[in-house]
Amino acid sequence: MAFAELYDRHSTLVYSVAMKILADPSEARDVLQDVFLALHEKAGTFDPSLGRVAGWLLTMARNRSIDRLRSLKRQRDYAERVWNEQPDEQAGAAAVAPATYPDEVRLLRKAVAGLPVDQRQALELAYFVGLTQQEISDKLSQPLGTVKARIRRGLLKLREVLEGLL
Amino acid sequence: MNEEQSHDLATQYVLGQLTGDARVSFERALQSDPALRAEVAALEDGVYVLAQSVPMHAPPPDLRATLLEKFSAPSAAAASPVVPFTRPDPAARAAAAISSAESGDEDVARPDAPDATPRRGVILTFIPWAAAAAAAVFGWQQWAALREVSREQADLNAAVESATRRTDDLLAQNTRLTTTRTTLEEALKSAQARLDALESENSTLVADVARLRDAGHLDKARIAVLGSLLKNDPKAVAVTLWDQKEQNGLLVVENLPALPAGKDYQLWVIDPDLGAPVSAGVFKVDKAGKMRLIFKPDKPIGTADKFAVTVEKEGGVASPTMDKMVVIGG
Repeated sequence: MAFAELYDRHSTLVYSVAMKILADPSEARDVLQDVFLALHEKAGTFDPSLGRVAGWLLTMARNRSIDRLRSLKRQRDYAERVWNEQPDEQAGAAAVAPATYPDEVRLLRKAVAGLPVDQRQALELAYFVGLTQQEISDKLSQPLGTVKARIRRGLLKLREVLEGLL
Repeated sequence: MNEEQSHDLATQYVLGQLTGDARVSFERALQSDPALRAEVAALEDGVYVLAQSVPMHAPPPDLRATLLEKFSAPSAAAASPVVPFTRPDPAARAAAAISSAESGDEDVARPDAPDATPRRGVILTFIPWAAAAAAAVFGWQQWAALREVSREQADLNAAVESATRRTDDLLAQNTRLTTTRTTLEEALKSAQARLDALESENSTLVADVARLRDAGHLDKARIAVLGSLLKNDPKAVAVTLWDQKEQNGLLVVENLPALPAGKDYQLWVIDPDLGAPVSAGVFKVDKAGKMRLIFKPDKPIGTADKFAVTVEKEGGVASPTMDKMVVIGG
């Protein structure tokens, strides 16, 4: 697949994940650029059997965003924001009106929103904030085993929704 | 790794929380464990859905051109508005559809609109997104099928690896058995050679006996078996065949230890009438401890009562060293 086509297909999601984590258009732009530069470098060695391109890009975007978040020492502030369930108001980037999202994406978003609060919080702290399961356990004052179970059950529940769409 | 541990590691893996050696070790386990791969794939699907929950933002419009220019690759998509469908997935669908929606704001929904011409660069930039969106409409099931094929291929690869390991084991076992067989064949060959040597020796002895019998000596010969006095070599044995009339004899020894340099075995004939043992010659044994000697005592023997062998200095001595006696008999 041509690089331009890959970019066209995945750049919005990659950029949006970076925005979600960093809440900064400039930082998110750097992440987007880094991710696609890395993809271009690995284009000759990428093995599709090891995973989807989208999965690879998402993992790369998420990990690099978390790295930047940590280096910017904003992790704690962000964690507080997620914990307090403040709405995602990220000014400065061209937000896409949810009404224009395709039906499938709206269904997936609804599935995430429909997760029990404790599962969703644990998942967001792990994925978007980059806290370890132990750190989440400490933060939520919940046993580590409970946190692990919530995260796994949450992911598998989301997976069921995806399977239902296929 | 029990089930709980594998679930825990798989969760950490898909959340990007496994690093360093732990990650390498887990990925190695993934290659050989279809159940673990299935667990990871399921959790990755969940992560993918989670990622879809973020508010969507259009990427900076200039970045695409910047990246393509950096790679010195002219925009194939821009050159042709038709994007070939290869591997659509939910990400593609979401991104493409959203981009398509965005492009509507930019008049991309109407690329042939007259007012599109002055903004051609912008429009062509977004056309592929719309095309990708259209292609993605047909993509869900194909994506699922491709993913399933990918998993099946991974399972097959694991099966091939397992079969290869089994083949390697069998080849190694075959090599070991071949080596064992070679060793046994060599041992058999050695034993056969030993048997041949013994048969040859036996033939020689039979011939000697026949020769003595033919010469009429055997009737007059006296046979003596000399037993071992050696604690470390209890199987040492010697046999003498003594011809009183001819005053000579044949000594055959077996299992006597080889002597260090400067030493010889010395045969003695004990005649009670002479008082002192009479030397009958010195000899050495071969590596197998064997020797055959035709001997003749230094003095005439009236009665060969006993025969003995001692260890003496090389060349022999006049009187035997009694505490160095190795065999005696009569």
